[in-house]
Amino acid sequence: MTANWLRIGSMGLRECIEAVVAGSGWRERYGRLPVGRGLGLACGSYLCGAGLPIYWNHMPQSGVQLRIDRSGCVAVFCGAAEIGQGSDSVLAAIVAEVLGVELADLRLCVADTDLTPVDLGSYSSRVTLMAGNAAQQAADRAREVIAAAVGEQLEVPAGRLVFAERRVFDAADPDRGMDWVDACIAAEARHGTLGFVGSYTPPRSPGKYRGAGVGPSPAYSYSACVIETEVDPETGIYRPLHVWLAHDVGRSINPVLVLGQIEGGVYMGLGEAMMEEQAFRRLPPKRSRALVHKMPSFLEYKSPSAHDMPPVTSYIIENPDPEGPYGAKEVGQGPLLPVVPALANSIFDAVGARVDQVPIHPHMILAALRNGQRTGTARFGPAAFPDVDFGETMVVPTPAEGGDGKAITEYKQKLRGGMRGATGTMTTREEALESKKDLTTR
Amino acid sequence: MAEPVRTPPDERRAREPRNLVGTPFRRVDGRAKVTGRTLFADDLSFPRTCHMRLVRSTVPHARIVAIDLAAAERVEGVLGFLTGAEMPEPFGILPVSQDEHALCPDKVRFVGDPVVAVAATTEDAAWEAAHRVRVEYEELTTIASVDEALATPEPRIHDYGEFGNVHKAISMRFGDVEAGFAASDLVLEDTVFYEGSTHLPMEQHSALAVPEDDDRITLYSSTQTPHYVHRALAKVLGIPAARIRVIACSNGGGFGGKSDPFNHEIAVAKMALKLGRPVKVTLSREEVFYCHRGRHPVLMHVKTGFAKDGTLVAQRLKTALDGGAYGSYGVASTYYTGALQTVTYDLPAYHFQGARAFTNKPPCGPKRGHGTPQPRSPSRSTSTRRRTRWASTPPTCGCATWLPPTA
Repeated sequence: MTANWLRIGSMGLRECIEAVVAGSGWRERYGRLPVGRGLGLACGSYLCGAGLPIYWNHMPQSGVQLRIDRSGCVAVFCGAAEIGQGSDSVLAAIVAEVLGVELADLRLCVADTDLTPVDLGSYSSRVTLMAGNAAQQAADRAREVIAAAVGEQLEVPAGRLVFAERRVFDAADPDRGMDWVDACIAAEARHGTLGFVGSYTPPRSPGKYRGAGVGPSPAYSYSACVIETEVDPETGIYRPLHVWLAHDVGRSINPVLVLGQIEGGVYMGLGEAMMEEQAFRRLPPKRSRALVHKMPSFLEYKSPSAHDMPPVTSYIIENPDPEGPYGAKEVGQGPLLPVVPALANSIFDAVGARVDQVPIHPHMILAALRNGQRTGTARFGPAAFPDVDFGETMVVPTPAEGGDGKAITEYKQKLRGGMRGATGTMTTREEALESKKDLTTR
Repeated sequence: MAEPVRTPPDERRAREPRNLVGTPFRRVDGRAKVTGRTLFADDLSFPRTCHMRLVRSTVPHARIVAIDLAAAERVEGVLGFLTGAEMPEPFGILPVSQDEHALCPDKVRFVGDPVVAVAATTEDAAWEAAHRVRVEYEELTTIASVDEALATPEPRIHDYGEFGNVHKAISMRFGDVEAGFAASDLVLEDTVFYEGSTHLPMEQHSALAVPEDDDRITLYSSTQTPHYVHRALAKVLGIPAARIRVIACSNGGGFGGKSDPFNHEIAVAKMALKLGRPVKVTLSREEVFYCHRGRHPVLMHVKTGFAKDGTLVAQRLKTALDGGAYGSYGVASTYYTGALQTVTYDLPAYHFQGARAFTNKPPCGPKRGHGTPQPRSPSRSTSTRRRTRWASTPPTCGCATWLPPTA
């Protein structure tokens, strides 16, 4: 349990750091590379789905329905959206795994509000864990019903039946069994039309303070990254030479998709660290002084090309989490997190320039080096943090202090300028009721 | 309320996969995608489909004085228009920030805020008509940054929020941070800026609305969150949710940029109901940059106390987010800049202060990592600085301080 009342399940951060440290030769090479070459290490962690839905409700965050009939076809219905991350493949693999059938035996119907049970969507790295658990529950229920019918016919205890290779058979005598289609026929004859549901609701979070709704998750993924970078101290131009990234995914449903997400996260992280900017400028006065995007096109908005992308060595750390389907955790977002600070740290190791700003442009490295000669601190970045009124501080005793997850100070709604302060996201029923007109879909 | 049925965690953990799970199987949608058979939203078309364009604001902050459609109406092929007055109900992804309109009824808040929707028989005619719509504005002071938002409480971009142009302010403390700093052997401070960036999906947003009998409607859209689009449509269109069907097509990349209900999704549904025929809208690449909802630019200040053995003693993190013109996921984003600082290394005392400002720029929201990549930067930079000061620190930096897994 952390100071802010987040419950941590499995944690593979040590294994992640050990993997990238060993892979990059960190112990032998860090601090011993020639000037202009550097190594940087960083780590990160991300959610496997937000613990609370966006609008307060008591319903599951994800649902899956299965429809099976005498043809042996398993239709899988789920509200999760395929955005390229592979959610369809994850759902299919889990159902096929439980029922021992092939992917081609499944028909997926997803993300259709008329036909599929609600899944809150493909955000927050929630699909593998939440929709995956719902799929597993639905498939487990299907398996139980089919096993009962098959067990009756074969006169084998249902608990001894194995579902694999499109067959249902006796673990003690593998020749005694029937093929998948016959098993479905037996089940439909015995039980009538076959439909099964599964759903997933995350466990309750122990934090009870206002704002405690943001942060809790059924599980946390971990990553660590080492980047080796070459920096020209004359020009500030730099180039990442190699990236080592280890990600604790709990268990991979499909390791190729996991590697794809790791490499995609490295790519996107390097883009943010090196060049991407959603920046704005004012048009000249004769053209209205409007505040416009500096470069709203693929040509001018700089993102790494194949030429910029260094080789990536990925490590999949598998440490099954008790909350995940087959122990799986997220990989969609986590691997991006350590990339940006690892790059900044590698530049610091290479030339001693600390750039406290991203993206890091070569001129910033040069400015930092010049500042170092002038003031002794080779740094480039913002000078100060503005004076912001953050309001009254809410005090929450930590678990170590013997707290109960609640705040001890009354966090009052602020009344300023006649306006009522915005509330936090939905953490308690009372809070939700304050904006109750938005609670239900009309 | 009955407790939901849950498989006991131990049972799941004990179960070993046998066949597929954990193997590099071919993805179920892989072949269709590499052979070009996957239908994305913009690939769909139905008989009599017409095309919609949004007329977007050319000024960053202004009251709408007048809208002149006369020249646009004369374009051949134009079928109809929509303005904000026809969809007065606000929407937004979070219940606490229902601050968007499908089309701006009275005020525009950034260059790109949609004001008028126009439908025509061809996409070219819709573009042409959109260019001929004249909107007269009464300009207001433009707020371009967090600093300007703090210095300019009036005019307010929204009439809700914490105060002035500050949308959300948070201060939460866990444990005695000051005592922690006093007891630390080394205290380091960093000020770091993380620029905003956008998602850059290959596929632009696209939506196709098909009216059906009995006032029912189906919307095909490139969205990550069909369920939330469904709710927003029911709210703004004033139709029971049971009569609205939302189908999320395969997305050509999302990365968080297709997680909000969008103006064009609601306007295209309204237009289809109004015209009684299918209507499609596909954003241009430039519009995607202005729709945004990407990484918040965040200025951070972090003060961290360390003990001699390398463990963390206390941390105070301040974040200032440039939120852009609307709430979007911003309240959650603000919390996320602080919430996950505690889950890597053991941190016994922590004080988080975060604030999000409204500015006259495209709204920021969730992008891969949602609020958490920004504070990773100063905290890890801080560890590296610590490492360089103490040569005796183990070579794998803060690994001495693990969060013990909880049972």
